[in-house]
Amino acid sequence: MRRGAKYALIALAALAALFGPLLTHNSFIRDIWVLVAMWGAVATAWNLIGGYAGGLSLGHAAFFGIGAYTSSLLYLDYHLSPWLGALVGGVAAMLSALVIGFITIRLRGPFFALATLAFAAILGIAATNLRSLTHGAEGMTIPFAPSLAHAIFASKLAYYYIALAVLVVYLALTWWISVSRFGYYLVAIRENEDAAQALGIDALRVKLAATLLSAFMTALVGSFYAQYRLFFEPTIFATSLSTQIALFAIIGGLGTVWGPLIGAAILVPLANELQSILGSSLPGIDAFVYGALLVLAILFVPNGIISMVRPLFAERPLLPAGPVQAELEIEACAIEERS
Amino acid sequence: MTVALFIQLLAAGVLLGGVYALISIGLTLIFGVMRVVNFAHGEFLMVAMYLSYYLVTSLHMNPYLALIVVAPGLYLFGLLVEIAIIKPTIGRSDVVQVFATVGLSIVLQAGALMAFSANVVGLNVPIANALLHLGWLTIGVPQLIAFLAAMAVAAGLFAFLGRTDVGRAIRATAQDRGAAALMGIDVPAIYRLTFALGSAMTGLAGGLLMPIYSVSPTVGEQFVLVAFVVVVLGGMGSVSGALIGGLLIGVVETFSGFVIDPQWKQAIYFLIFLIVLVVRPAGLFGVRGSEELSR
Repeated sequence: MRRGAKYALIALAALAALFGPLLTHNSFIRDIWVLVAMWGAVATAWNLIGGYAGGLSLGHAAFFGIGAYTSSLLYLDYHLSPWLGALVGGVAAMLSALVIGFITIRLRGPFFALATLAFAAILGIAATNLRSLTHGAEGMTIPFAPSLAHAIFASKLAYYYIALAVLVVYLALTWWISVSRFGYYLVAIRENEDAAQALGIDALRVKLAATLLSAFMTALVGSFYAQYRLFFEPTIFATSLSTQIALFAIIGGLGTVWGPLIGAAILVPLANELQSILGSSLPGIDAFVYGALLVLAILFVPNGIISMVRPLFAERPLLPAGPVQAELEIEACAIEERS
Repeated sequence: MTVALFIQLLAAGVLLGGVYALISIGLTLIFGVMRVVNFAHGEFLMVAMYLSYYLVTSLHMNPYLALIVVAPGLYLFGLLVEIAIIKPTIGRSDVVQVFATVGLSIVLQAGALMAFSANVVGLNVPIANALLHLGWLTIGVPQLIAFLAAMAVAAGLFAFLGRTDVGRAIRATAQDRGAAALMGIDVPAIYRLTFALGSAMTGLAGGLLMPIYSVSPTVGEQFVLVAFVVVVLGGMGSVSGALIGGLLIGVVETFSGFVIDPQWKQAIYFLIFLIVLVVRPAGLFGVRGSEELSR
């Protein structure tokens, strides 16, 4: 019965995702559908390193921005189709992830967060000041010339289905990783890096691989964002964007396949609603309410919204965490003593 | 570059560095004792600057006299934040610790936007533009006062941590909270005190900055990154490290702003930041291992 309920829910979500945006002609609401799919995809990419490997990146705006700038510059200056430009941007982001990875990958917790934050900040300064390349603070404008080759469309629906396809691929990839050896390595590293090393996992290499993959995935969506908005500024590298990406995943549920999407699906419409209801009455009140909700969610639902939903679909009642944890610890002690 | 110019730049850099040190000391103290990185630190500074601004403009207080209100005000503010938000995160995962204060920074910025609007405002008092001429060397008076105050605060903090019983209890908690608790130290009380004290220092910094810089709801963003750089450079948790790190960054920023383009000076110290993380993640004066580096 419960297994049935779970599949019914997934089928319902799939139907909603496929046909939902067709039910409205309101372009504001269609925009929200696009944004949910897009931020859901970025948060899913972040989740690989932030959720599964436990590296709290506050610099994913760097990869997002690299994707946006690379495809746009190649399109505007060399007339390369953004479809290919996005791939080049993904590779560029991987190269940057390799550089920053060597620096940050050995750092843990807040130090990793700070180092990634500094990395994105440097790129933001570079994008503002390399005016001949990036047009500086005035930002990049892509002329509206709809065609498939230009990856510019008159209808929001086209953007939506592209974003949805990317999202589905990312979710499938995350699911596949979560049941693969690679995924177990990542979780082992997150839970106890020293123990994982002791068991023979090359922690640095595995984390670096996850970072590269996550950077590539994030940059692709960055290119999508550029093609969708047709305008962006160096603020694309802002810490607030990195934070936003991380918060989608955290509020939804870290280190789970569906969590980041759930987070985006709740927070994106929430932020938009708050802005349209409250924003005009007093500037800032929408962000205030939003921020307060985030703090409460982090303090009281640290495992994400998915942790509240999950027990409903468990096939057998979940064991209380306490005794199992204790048992595992006793086992770990026994192993330690033997070795 | 002439000698005179070199000395002028050095003086400006050292004075700027004193301000940076003052902003960073509270952050590093809190990290050293509680192992909490306060990502809302810049917003604490912003709150202090607005408090100082309104005391000066509405009550016509002297900006330096206003410090008597601003520092205790931020002490109280820090105390409330510790009880409401920081205490529940102690002992929890990195995610909770990092993002609780990230969320707090969003709330404080938005709150300031609601209360004070996005306008950039500054103090228009005579002392803000006062200059001191020492031969061919020219120094801004508010900068000099901020620098001297930073040195005095650092000296006071050293004396407090080194010579008083409470100071010893704080250091003991920083070294080993478990052992400190066994020695009868009330660790949660020490945490409250440390967080409030660190906030009060940020309050002092904000009050001293107000005659020099203007304030807006996002002012914290420009200073918090510098504070992180200074704290990591000096060694997370090291007060003397923050002092010397602050001076170094101030001098580097001033010289790089002159030699290269001023627009790039921030990039320079972020670069230094990353280099420090690669070469010596514990910072110049940090205890090895405090940076939680993978082996």
